Amino acid sequence: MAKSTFVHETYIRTTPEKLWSTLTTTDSLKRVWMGTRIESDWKVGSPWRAISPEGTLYDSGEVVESIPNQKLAFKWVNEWVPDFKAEGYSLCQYEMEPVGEAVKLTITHSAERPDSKFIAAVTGAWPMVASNIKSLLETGKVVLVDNPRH
Amino acid sequence: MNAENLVLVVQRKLKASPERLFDAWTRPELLVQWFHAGEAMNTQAAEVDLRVGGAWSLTMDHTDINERRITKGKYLVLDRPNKLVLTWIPCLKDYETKVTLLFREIAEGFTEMTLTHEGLRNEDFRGHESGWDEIFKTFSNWFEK
Repeated sequence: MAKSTFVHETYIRTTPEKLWSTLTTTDSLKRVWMGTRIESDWKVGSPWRAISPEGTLYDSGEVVESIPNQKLAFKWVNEWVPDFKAEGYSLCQYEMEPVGEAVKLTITHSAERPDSKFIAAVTGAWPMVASNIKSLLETGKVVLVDNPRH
Repeated sequence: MNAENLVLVVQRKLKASPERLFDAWTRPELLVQWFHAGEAMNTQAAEVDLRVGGAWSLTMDHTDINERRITKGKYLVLDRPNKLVLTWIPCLKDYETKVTLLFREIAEGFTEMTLTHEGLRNEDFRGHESGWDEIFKTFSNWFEK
């Protein structure tokens, strides 16, 4: 059966250690996700959740693979939009690979079902988040590029 | 840390259509209901000339220090319901900054709202960061009423 998949590759001037730290530290994640609080200890089998500053639960899931500085994979269900929640779990993974003085970050977010509405919706958010990860690591600032969809 | 040229980025997701959110940001009778940057700040009046180049202003009472302050600017982009860009002169200051709001409908009746604030000076950055946080809290509560 066809899947719904979003893939984003970006090259960041940093080390795998710093990238891993950014992707697993609540304070960094809060900047990358523009205010959303993401909590987990990122160990295999551990839960994770994303909540708004007002306490609204947006997303949750479970860590399925955790290799420091190389790969992080976790199940992800949207808790906030009923149509998305009804789709059940998607799978998100970060892969980190050193390339010269940079690290290639590959973000893959997929669902087993074809035409997933949730994957379609996050496809609009990932480029902003990836840009924030890169900006935060390279400049220490979060600079958001204008959303090309508008 | 040097915050000069830092861009403030804040995102919230709300149970509302982009049209409803855009209107809440651009209609004076709605702005006075929710644009309060904290318990001690109360937006008393909003003036809006809703056209590109048109002026806007918000009169805020700071009840803790018993002062009335005005934040103002003009509209640069009015693309209802997707995008709103305005200049923003921080209260008690004489320089212009830029605020961009993007409204993206992620499912029917669910919108992701992204605010970027560019051009703030060091001394005004942290105040605005916490200010927007408070404003968005009030905004979320107001929408969920």
